[in-house]
Amino acid sequence: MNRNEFLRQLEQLLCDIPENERREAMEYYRNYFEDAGPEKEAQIIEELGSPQEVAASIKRNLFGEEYQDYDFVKEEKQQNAYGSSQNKTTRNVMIAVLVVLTFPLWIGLVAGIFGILIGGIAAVFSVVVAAIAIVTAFLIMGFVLCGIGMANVFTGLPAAGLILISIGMFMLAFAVLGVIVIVWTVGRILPWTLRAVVRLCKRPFQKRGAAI
Amino acid sequence: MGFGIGATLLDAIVLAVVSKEEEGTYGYKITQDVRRAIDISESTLYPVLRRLQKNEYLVVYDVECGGRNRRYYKLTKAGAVKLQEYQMEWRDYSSKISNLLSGEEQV
Repeated sequence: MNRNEFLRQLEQLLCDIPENERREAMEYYRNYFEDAGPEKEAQIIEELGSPQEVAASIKRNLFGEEYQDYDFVKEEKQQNAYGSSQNKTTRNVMIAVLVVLTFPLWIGLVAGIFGILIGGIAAVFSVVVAAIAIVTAFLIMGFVLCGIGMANVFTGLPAAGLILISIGMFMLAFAVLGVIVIVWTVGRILPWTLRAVVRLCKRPFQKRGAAI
Repeated sequence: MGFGIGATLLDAIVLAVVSKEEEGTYGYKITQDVRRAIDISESTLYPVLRRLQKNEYLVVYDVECGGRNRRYYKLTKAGAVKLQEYQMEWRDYSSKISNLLSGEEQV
């Protein structure tokens, strides 16, 4: 810190005292540096301590002894806190502006991800529907074949009837197997997939929450 | 220096230092003169000078010096009276303290 920087900071720190007091103090310290000469500048700045200390000594004299050194420590802390909160606000505003400005870029991405998600759900749904349809078809075919087989057995074609019945039974067995598979899939895998998708969607928000 | 210096003693010292210069003296020189006797930080003296100025024991005036204004401090009449008062008090006070600290029996 050089002399000008020191005086500038001191003037800022004295902004809450009366105008004439500030002028007097600034005049004194400006004079002081000039009388000491440039070769003593660094030494004087070191001996004066910080502009905060000098400001505190001036204010103590103006506002009474209760204005103690801790006040300038407090002031310093407040300044720091103010500075960092201001930085945070600035950062948040910048992020918001950036998000709005890049809208044409990320809207496509978001729409794409949304489309894939919907497409995936539709695909799973259609597979389930198809499976149910096939199982239902097997069930109906099984019963029908069994019925025709029975009829054939009683109307004089026992061999063909037994074959039809056995095919019908086969189909029913398949259908039962299909029902079990569908129930298991819909009951287990679907909720798990849904949970996974929900978790995936939640993740970016959770991360953001942790960062703030 | 192990002994603390109160505001009153500092006032007296500054008045004494300024009174030595008939034509007045300036902040940097006052600080150097005071520091020859006691160890004080450079930021101590401005408040003292300002206080004495407000109490009208000191008066300030600007003298042009090398193309700029230099602020001079000079004792007022009230300042001279106050200094005399301080000097008397100090003689009394310091002799008592000296007696106590010297370790000799008082007569």
